Amino acid sequence: MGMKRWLACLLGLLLLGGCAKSRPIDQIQIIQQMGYDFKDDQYIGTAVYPTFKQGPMTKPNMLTTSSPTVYDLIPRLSAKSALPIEEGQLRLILFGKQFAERGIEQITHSLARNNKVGSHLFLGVAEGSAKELLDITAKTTLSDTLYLPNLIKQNEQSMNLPKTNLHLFLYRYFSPGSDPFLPYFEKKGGFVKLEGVALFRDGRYVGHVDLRDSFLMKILLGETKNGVYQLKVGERGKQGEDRVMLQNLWAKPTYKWRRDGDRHVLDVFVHIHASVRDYPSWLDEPGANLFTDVKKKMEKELEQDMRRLFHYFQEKRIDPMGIGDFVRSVTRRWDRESFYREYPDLDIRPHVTVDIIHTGIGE
Amino acid sequence: MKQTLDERFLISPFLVFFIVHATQVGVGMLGFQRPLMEDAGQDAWMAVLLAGLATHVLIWLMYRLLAYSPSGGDIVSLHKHYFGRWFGGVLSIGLLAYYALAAFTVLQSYIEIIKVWMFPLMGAWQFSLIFLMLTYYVISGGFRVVAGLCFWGVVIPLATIFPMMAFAFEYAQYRNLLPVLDHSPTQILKAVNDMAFQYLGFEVLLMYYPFLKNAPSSQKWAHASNVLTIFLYLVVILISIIFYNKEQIAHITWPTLTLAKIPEVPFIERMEYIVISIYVLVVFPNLVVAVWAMARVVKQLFSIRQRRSLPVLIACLFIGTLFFEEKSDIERFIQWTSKSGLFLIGVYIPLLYVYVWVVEKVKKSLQQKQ
Amino acid sequence: MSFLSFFKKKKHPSQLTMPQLWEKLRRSSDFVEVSFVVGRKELSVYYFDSLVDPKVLQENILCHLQNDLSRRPDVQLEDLQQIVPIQRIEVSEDPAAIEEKVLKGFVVVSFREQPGKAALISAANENLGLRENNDTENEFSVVGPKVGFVENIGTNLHLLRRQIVTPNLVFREMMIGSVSKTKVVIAYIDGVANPETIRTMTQRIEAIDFDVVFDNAIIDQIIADNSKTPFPLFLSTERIDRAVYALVSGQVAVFCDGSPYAIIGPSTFFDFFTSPEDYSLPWVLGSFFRLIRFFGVMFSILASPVYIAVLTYHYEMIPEDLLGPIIYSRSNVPFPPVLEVLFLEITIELLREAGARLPTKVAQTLGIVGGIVIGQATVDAGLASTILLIVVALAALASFTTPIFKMSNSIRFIRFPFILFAACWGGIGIAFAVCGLLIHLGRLQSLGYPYLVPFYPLRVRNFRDTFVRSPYSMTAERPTFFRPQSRFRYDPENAKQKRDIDE
Repeated sequence: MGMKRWLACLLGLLLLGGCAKSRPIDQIQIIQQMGYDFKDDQYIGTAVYPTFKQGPMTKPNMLTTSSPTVYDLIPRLSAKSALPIEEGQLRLILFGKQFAERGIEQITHSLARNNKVGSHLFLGVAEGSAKELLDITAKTTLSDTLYLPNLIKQNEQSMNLPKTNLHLFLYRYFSPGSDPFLPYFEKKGGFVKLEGVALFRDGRYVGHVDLRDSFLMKILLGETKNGVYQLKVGERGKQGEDRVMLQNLWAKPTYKWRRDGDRHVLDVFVHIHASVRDYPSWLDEPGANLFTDVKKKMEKELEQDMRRLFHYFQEKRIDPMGIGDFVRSVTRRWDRESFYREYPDLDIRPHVTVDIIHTGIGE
Repeated sequence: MKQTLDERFLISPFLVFFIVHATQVGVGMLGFQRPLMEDAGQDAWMAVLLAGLATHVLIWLMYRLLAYSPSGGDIVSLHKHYFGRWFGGVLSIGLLAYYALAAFTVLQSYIEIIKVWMFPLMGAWQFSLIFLMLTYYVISGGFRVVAGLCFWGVVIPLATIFPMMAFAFEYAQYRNLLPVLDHSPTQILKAVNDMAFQYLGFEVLLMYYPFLKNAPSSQKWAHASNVLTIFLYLVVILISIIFYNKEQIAHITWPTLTLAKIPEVPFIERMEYIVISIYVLVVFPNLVVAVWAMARVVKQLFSIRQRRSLPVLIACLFIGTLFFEEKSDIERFIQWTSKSGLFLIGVYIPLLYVYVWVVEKVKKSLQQKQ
Repeated sequence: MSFLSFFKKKKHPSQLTMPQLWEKLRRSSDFVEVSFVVGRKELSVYYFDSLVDPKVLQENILCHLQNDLSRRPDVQLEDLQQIVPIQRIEVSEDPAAIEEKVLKGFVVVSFREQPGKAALISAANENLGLRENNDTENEFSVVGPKVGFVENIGTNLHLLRRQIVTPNLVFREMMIGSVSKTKVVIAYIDGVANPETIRTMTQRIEAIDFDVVFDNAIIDQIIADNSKTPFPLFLSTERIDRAVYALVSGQVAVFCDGSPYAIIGPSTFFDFFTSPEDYSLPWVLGSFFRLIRFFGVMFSILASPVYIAVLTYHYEMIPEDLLGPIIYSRSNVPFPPVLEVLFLEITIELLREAGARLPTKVAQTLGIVGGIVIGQATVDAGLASTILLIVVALAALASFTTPIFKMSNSIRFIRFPFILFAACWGGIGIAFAVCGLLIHLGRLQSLGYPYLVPFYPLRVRNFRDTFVRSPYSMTAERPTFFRPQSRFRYDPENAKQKRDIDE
């Protein structure tokens, strides 16, 4: 009797459980990229989704919708889709510049509460309209819906872009001692190009720096093992023959915070292990101190560039480097307000040491 | 009351290690960081440590108390012995209510997680039904099977979920731990208060004490188990501190699960679904042991056979889950369980121990006079 | 009612006299009565033609009876032992005992002058009808003996005694089955096996109340602690070395006449995953293959359910590179993933069952044809996706890695509840099913010993022979969970001699 009761229960359960809400993978529409724009008092949402009809290669398609609020955009896409829209596989969210200038606070909080998106989601800012950029990527790459996310990933791993994803973005956004930043894209000809890093203050876009400066940002943020940088080392030679290409093998910043009189001074010690493979031929001339000479020139140039960058940040009153966070970790009872009042006048002194590890296999 | 059980039903004292740990760690592990970091910020790990040490003292106290119970019995027989049948019965019923509350809270909070993270549109009753049916199946196998479930509930999650934490180190910001001791003792104590609830669970020992072979020797295993719990909570809070910052975590309800979004392996993404699924094994022992304790109290007090009382208790729990589904209700239940648990362990047990000790002393001196 | 009366009649001693007995037996045409006069004695010889070895009858019994009786006219039945060169001649007056022995192939000799008494001479033809070779077909090992048990219990006991040469090897014989009267032998090593175990086993077998005991498997099921479980509670093996190893570890073996399998109890869950091949290879290889086996079993149980759960509920878990192939291969299939999986699983089960029933030559071809052609056609017709086909085929393969056939059946069966749970509740369903399985295994007991030992109850010292096969220097101690009386197999000190470098 006990056995029969069990079986009846189980059968009943299974039959009823079959009414569960399932989302079989071929009966949903997964979107992989999403663009947010603001134009004429309307929010415009663009979704890029793959279709798999011609085999495993994916063909990107686009869907656009508009709405007076941000939250409504993804649900509104359903009105134009035969299958239910699922955002679990979102890889990239692109903000149009106008949208970013208005403020991304709403969308950020929504993402922080969304359990369906992963923490490795990329975000970015587009110059102009996100829809336009997504459109270009959909057309120029016939079978790749993940062109932009892969671009970001590749640049983060081996070039000058500092690491960003949803988790890091939220971390910097919510942190009192840091401001967030995102990759910045521009339209160049018929292609989308990664132009640099977009900077935010209070959730609003305030400007961007180019790829060369983003290398400096990258090494100042933490230990890195990649990136290239061009440096001017001399006055000799023709146009373009006074620069060397520095390839970073390993760079580590160390921050020190101290008082100098009545001001606070932040010393930034950066140690770079570099490989210099591309340099003009006049550097090959045998000269005793040429090596150290070049090294000193590189270090000075780097320090200058860094100082310039920090000034830029101080002027704009933004802190993407997380200096506030660092100071918090070495101060008791750190107060955000008083620190950021002092921030624009802070004396930030970079000290760079470059070790040239090798210069290639040829001479 | 006959307390000596047939040797076939007893378990080796070493298994207390698994039972205590399994009943301590539950749904709390997924979200305990939030109130802690709100109060104590980067010093939250100290609160974890302090609360754990306090628990050691309480476990020791519990063993000393149980040593007084007649013929190695559980706390119900202790109540009966020292307070008489009626008042002792009332106290035991209070205990019953506490166990019921604990079981209910565990069930509801875990189902809430399933509903929020995985199946928002599915009726919660399905999960509670399956849970409770499996509970019946486990308990009807005897305490040995219950202990076996606790064993698996410790070994499997430790082997599968715990290594996933290693992926968080990629995003570690160690300077989040500095400056150390930047908070006032009041703040840290408040965090300890929040944390203490997470260490609860070992009080079920009050009921399964007679099921242990050579029970007093199991005390060292209970302490070892608490050490493991402290270690786990410590690792999780440390990783949370270096992974999140204080403000970010205020916006995240279940930081541990959001942390599980990070691991990326070539063939699987989004580990949090795996973590939530395996978490069934972590939560299940809590539920099962609490329900077992309930059935056992009923048996000791009213002499109703466990086979009869168990379906009734389980049906009551199930009906309860149908009625209290809203998030605010669940929060309220968690508060009640936390408060009553802390009261039971922090206030009642010490008082009881003092009382019993005094009574024994008086008895002894009276006997000596004679 | 008539069934019970049949039993009742059996309990009372037969009231038949000898002539009535012969009358009863005469109904069958293979019952032979030979009466003749030798010297001045009249004697009758009775036997069953179908049971008796004619050579023994002619040369050893009739020959000597005919020759020697004429020279010694006053010999009695009791002295037949001196004339007839066959061992253990019994003289009996009990018709019931005579009936039993005649049915076992004994020849009954009775003298006219001694009515009511008869001599029973063993002339049974034991080897008639048995198969010629005793290769272990189902438990094959590449490196190792291929000789196994046969259907004749005498041969089996002989093979066992050859391997265990100690007087401590004890055989206890009993007769089970009211109609088949099968000879069942319990074997154990006295001084190693726990007397409690021996007693339990003996009690359970003696309590069997069955009519025809065909095979050891029937005994297995009747004496099992829990008959509702799909998991086998006793190990059954055809191999001699496996039975010997079990006996040496303190387990008890049961042999049944007519069955080439020996069942061994108590057994643990992990016994079913050890193969004698592990012991023939170096321990590193043996452990490696054992781990592959465990992994194979886990994969076999979880592969299809995980496929269903991920594709139906958790699409977010698929990495971006796999997304394309999976969605593309699924887009042509009209069913939800559950039905797809069930369809393929049942196809494989049908293939397997059909292959087991067909004659060998046809089965091979059909297996290949079935596997490849049906699989390919299913994918092309859009009834299943390619990825699923690979998963299901691999899972089916992996389920056959268990050395004991009974366990691979259980694993094939267990997969289906997992599939149903995964289809209803996705990942949580799989977790529930795993819970349920662990609880079920935890409740099982084999002859009173917990099934999951050494995992639960945890006995770390006995891990030496479960997941990994330790080198022989470390296996000196018997597994303690059977509570053997003797702890060590051989001296552990001598096994672990360590020498310094260059010594």
